[in-house]
Amino acid sequence: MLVSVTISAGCQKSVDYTSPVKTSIEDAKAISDCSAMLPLRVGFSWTFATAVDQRTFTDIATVRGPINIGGSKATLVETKRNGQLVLREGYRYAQGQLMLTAFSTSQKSWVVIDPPLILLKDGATLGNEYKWNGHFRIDGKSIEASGLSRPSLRESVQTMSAGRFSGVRIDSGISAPLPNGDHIKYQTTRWLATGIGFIRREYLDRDGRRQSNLISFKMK
Amino acid sequence: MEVTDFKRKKSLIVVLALATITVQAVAMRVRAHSTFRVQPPLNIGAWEVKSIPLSSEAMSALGNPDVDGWNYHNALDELVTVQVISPDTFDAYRNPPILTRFFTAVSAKVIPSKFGGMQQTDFAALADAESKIFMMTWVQHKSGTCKAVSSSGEQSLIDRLRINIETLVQPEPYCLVRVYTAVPKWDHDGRQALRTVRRIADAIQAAGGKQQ
Repeated sequence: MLVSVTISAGCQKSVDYTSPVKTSIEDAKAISDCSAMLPLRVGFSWTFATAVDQRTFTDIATVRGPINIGGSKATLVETKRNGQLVLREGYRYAQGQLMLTAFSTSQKSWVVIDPPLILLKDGATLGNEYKWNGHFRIDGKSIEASGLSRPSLRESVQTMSAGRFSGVRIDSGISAPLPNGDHIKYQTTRWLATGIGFIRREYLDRDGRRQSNLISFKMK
Repeated sequence: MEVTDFKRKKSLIVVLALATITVQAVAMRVRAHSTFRVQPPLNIGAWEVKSIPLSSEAMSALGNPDVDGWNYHNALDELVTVQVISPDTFDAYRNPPILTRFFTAVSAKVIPSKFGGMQQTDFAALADAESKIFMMTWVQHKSGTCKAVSSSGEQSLIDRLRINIETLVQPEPYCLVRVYTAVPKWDHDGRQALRTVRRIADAIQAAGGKQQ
């Protein structure tokens, strides 16, 4: 075998470039107390504008209080659109970790995330990845699943009328393969600001990503 | 007259024999280098790997060397492409056709790593400067040591000639590794994409060190 020596006409001149990507102090700054990133006090609520099929709806997410879901303790956060329930999520803060324990898009059943998915840890820095392996438990059935969560960026988010806040973008995704080759996916992105909680949310549904932008929030 | 012809023929035979031996030695040397291609880890944290053979177009652009192609993916539908290439063709060091055709290198630098170093090249799409790709490339030796291919944005002719000459004198088998990912639109300055590509690159360099 010979070394193939073919001179390419497409060679480009070497230039001493400087990368535009620089390490930021923000990247290294730790999130000291993640319980403050999502205050789960009963009565807290966030009002969002959500665009669906070229129409904008008003969603209200409210902290309802403690709940036991499939034997797991959590705090229920319920989201209604024009008075109709669209999403329920169970959150828990324990041992320095903010976790998602279950979710549901109906009044009847829950998808229990076993073990709970870690969204954020005290002392987290941007780029930390929390690997998750476990099961979705739905109506007594168990499906093996895997996923991760990651605080990806610190962003300044302009809300519709509540002002501008610096928040942390947390990406999370769980995927459970089905026997027919499809997957159950629960992909969400939450922007959380200290002392306020959600300043933006994004959920993947059948038609793509739906973003909810904060209009206002109430702290009781 | 006949004696002169005989001498000429003899000289020609000697030259041909020497040339043949040299070519065979070079070929053996090149083949020896083709014996090592680092095996990327099956998973890196929440990232899982899938073997993805290169397209015939990509193979042809590289001069059809021995190549392993891999994709790492996670539950966020993020994707990182890895190519491990034997340095047995002159074109093995060329960037993939998708990058040379639709993107241009906008920055490049050599960055240090635990196992030596790597080259980071940032590409911007020709049609849309907002679409970016970050790529890490390096030469990985069987012993685990790694070094950047060059400090320029593209592998220039001189760089490639230098590396091919090094191939002939290098006593240790090695391979070329390329790791790249597209920067999502939400990642405005590419911080997360850079962390991701660097994490995968570091894990592959570390895996090479364990495969000695």
